Amino acid sequence: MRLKRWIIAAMGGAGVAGAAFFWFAPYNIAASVPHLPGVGEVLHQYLRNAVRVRADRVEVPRHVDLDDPALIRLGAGHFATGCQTCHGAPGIPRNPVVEGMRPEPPMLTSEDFEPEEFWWVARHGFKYTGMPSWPGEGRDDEPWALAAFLPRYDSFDRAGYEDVAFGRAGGYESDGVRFGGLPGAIPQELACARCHGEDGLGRDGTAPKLAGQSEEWLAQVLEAYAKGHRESGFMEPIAMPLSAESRAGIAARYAAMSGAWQGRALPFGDAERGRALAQRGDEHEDIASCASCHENGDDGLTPKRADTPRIAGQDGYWLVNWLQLYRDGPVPDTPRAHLMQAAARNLTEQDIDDLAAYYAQRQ
Amino acid sequence: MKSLASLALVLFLAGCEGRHNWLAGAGEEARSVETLFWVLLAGAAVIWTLVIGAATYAHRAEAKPEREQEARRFIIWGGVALPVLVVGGLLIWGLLILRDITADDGALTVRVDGERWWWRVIYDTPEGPVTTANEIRLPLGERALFRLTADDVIHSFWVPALGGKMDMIPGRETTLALTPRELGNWGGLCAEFCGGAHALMRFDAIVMEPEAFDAWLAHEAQPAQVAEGDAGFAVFDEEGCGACHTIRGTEAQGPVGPDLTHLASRDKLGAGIYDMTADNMARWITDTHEMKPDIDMPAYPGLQGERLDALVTFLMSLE
Repeated sequence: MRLKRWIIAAMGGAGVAGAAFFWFAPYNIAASVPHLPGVGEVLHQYLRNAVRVRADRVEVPRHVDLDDPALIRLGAGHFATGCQTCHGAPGIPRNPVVEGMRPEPPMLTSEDFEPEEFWWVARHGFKYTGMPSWPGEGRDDEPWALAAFLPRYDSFDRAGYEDVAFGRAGGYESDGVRFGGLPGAIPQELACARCHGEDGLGRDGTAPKLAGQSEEWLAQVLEAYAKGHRESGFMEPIAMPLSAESRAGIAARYAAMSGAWQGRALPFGDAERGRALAQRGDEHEDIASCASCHENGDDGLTPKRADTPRIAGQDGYWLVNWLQLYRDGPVPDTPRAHLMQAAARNLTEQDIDDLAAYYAQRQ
Repeated sequence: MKSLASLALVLFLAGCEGRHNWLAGAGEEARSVETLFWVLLAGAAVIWTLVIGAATYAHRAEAKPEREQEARRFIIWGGVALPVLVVGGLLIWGLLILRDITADDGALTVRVDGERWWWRVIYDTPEGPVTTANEIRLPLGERALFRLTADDVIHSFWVPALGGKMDMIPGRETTLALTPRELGNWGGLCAEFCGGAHALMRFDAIVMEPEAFDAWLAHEAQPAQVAEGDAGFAVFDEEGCGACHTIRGTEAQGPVGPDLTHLASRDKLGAGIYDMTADNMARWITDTHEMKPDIDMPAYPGLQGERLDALVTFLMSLE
């Protein structure tokens, strides 16, 4: 009886103390005040444990080659868009504003994580820090570019970084007052060109080829990225701030470019089987023929409609990636995306590899 | 209670009405199954009466231990030997019917492939296969052998008025013969639950005079007559319809969906569920999943106005 009374009293006391703590907030959460001794270290080690445990189950997709220079360039290009503002870059310091954050976003090194761990961190971010999750919802494929770039981070000096991220040294001008990095930090043409190439041919696989793609399609896709109807951590941050006029100008510029599309094939896939599947479809697997929309009768390269993209000569990596996205999602929320979703619904991994092998070698 | 009984009666009798009536006797095989059914019913009535009679007698009679031996003999003969004989006889009769209705000696061979949720129909002719869909035409009085397959899940092929039914099993071929004895448009359906639109997986089985059937099959074998530069075909082509559908005589050679070469000559649209009218055709294209839920064909809500009209006019001209 006595014990019970004690327990009730203790619980009441704890409740009052807890409420008082909550109300008067004696623990100082000011970013200007350091953590109590040891707290920062414990939190940081917990973070590392959390990453290690979760990244342990992450596998590199088979069409992703972490040693591919194109993927490294793509990762570096995105790093300049999304990461450099807070983390700095080789030879480029962080803005002092960032140094006032707690936890403070560190300058990175290759040693911080394993590639799968870099992927996990880029994909998911960290609660209670400034580190965001990947902006393209559901795009598990995209952060692999950072998992390819970051393990090589230490090997770049400033010129090397600018070259890999922008395609030319001096791409990042550090003159001038600026916070927020891209876009706006570099000219619009260069912002697109650092991945899609000055010639619109995608810098040897860094990004999809755009040269000569239909203006209508390019404008539609840019608008979809700008309005969040098409998920991408690469493209949404770039497209969102662009005005409708800017988007139209970019679409017109790339549509007017010409150049032979030379697709890079992946080391797997049977192009001959892919050709048969693309041309005729498959009755028993219920696969529609690709050619019925993506090839007109004249050159077999140009699609039948202006709002359908050309795919012949695109890189195997992008073909596999987008076939998987149309099959598994996130499917873009655009007027005709459901047709592509229906076409990709029954594709097996083998079908996707074979189709990619076929279309990559078309020119 | 009374209303429940009359509801049951109405439902039971509804099964005996119209084009899905399995007692219509419109086909040889349906008739042999029907004979088996009536004999079975009559026999069951006799046996039921005897068993109830014996039970009533046993309940009322006084026990006579001295007749134990006799009773045992009665149980062995009446309760073991007779049922074995009757059930065995019925089984043999049933198997004989099954042998007849699956025997491969039909002059006319029709391959039917069950798809979710429609029927791919291929007539094997001396000149080669003739593909159509969702409608089966048969010559009066001639035995037709159906070779049945399924492309995805188990379906079951049934034209109740003519005979059947027979399961269609992926990876296997089953056979079933139908010998129509009455002209008419008899209903067919899938009789094995196969997913979302199962209840909408139907077809017409149209029995014709043999000459009319021959003319129909010859016409069906012809490619479509599509004029050069047809505005409707241009829409069909641009929209990529040919990725899934075939119109023989054009570049549209898609193998996935129903063959549309003579689409408008069919009575029904959507696997036996809508009348073949321009309005239904337009709705089928723009509101596909309102018309038939769950099907693989994507809807084309963006197709409107002149382009839709041109496409519908073109499709309705495919006779």
